[in-house]
Amino acid sequence: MRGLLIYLVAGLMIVSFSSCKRDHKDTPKPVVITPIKVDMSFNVNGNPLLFDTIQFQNLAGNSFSVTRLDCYISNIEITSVTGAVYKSAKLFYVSARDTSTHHFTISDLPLTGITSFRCNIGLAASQNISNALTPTPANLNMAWPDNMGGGYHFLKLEGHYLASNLQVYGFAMHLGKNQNLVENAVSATLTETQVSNGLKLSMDVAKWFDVPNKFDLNKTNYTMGIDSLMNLLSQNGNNVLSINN
Amino acid sequence: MRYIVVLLLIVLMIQCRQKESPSDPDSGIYQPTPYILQVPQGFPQPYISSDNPLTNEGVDLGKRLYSDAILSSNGLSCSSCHNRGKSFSSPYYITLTGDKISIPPHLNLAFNPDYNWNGSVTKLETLPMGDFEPQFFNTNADTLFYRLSHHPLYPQLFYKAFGITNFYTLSYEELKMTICKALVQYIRTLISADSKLDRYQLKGGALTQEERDGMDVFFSERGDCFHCHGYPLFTDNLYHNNGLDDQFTGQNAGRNLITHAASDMGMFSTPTLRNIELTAPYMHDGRFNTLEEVVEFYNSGVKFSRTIDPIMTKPGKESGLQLTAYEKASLVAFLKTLTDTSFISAK
Repeated sequence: MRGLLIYLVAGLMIVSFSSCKRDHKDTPKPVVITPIKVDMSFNVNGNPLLFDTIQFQNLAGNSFSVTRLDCYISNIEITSVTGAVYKSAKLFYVSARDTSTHHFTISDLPLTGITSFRCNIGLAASQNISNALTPTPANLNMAWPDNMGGGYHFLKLEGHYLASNLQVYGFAMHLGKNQNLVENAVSATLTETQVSNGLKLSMDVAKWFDVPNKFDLNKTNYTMGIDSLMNLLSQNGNNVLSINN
Repeated sequence: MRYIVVLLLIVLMIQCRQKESPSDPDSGIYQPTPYILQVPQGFPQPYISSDNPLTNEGVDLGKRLYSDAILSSNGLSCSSCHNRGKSFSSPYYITLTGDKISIPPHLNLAFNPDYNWNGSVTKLETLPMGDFEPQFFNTNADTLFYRLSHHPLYPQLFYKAFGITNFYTLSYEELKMTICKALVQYIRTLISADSKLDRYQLKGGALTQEERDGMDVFFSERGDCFHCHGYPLFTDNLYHNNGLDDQFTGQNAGRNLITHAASDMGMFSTPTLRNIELTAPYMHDGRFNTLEEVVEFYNSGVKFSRTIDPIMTKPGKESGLQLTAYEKASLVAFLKTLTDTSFISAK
């Protein structure tokens, strides 16, 4: 009888402890992957991007300001010394006004032995579907209406310019739709030091207007929904990014 | 030995059940129950202050206080100006400086990062603090302490929600902030996501042809409303100068009154369009009485200034959208599909 009681008490304690244990589960040790850090910055013809003041010039001679610059960086691809190509599944929303979005880490790629880096501006077709992204405030504000094909804006670049009649007007260079994805917006050969120090990714805003397609804001200051203009803008997107370290 | 087993069982049961115990001042246990806020499909995560998590008890207290004149010396409560039938809004109030300000609805505020037309409030808990001032509740501190302390329910409700056993241990500021926390917990639960449009989008509901045509205007370059009023919040929670004025005085300076930046002149927080049918008059100063007037403003009344939003200056539409009469009517019909009758009738 005594032995039975001991077993009963022991059994009850095991059951009770295991039921109470739910509150303080041991978390498994995370697998340590050294992330690739990316610091993004913005400039206009090499000068720091300052918002809201008409102080910059594009190739067409328009004086302009920037009030908004939001975009997605995605399809990050690295090549290792062995020639193996690794593609990150991560995408990053970057807003030039919001410095908290300027620093991001790619945590799903091997860090060592990287020789080159590529990325897109925009979203792959598989991501560019309405409601495909987590409904964060940023993603909701980048949504491209279903009535216009659905998905997301790849780029919102907005500001003001001094028109030829000396009036101040606005411009809104928006980019979206799968055919306007900026593929390989940057494709750079890297050294080990560059990678370990963190990549310095820089966007020259003026180049959206300049190369290879020159936008004169007096003639073209709004691209959304106009496929031909978005296509030209997309081509310019191939020249806006560079790695600066 | 039998007693040991029984004792052991009792001890273990108490240990495991402690977390479920309700607040009870007699037992000395204060443990409010977490409130699970249901986030509608497609909505972002709500902003919840870390120092004011939602609890069933806090929400219940806030709901009761919201429509109780006990907070004021003049018979007013929150619901006097935030009328449920008008989506928790009312037409406008006149500021001490004589400006007319449209009262924003208490709707989906859980998803806003800041509040008021010019963003003067960045933490929702501080939003109701101004209501105790003479121009609103004209609250008398001594009267408020006395009324709450001698109320048949509030001492128990404040204990359950915030563990307060004696109001007089709080300063007046602390008491007001505690009241605000309760009010805000309730306000965060005021979520509208069951309009005719939601039912059309998510549940196979129907829209009329006119409403669908209006939706096309709204969500296309024709009307270009979606850039600031996208689905599902119908606000981008950003600041814009939508071309109402080209001269800015008093409250019309908008965001500039807070930041003092020239670039913020005439900018206002984008209001949600949910329940817009119920929240007339429109714009920050209530200058438009009907949705037809609002649409006509965007159609032909936009004024240029240096801070006008770039979206408002689309080529060929610099002074307005130039919609047809039918497009304008259909746009109004579409806006009325954002009315959520279950939201205004819920108890």
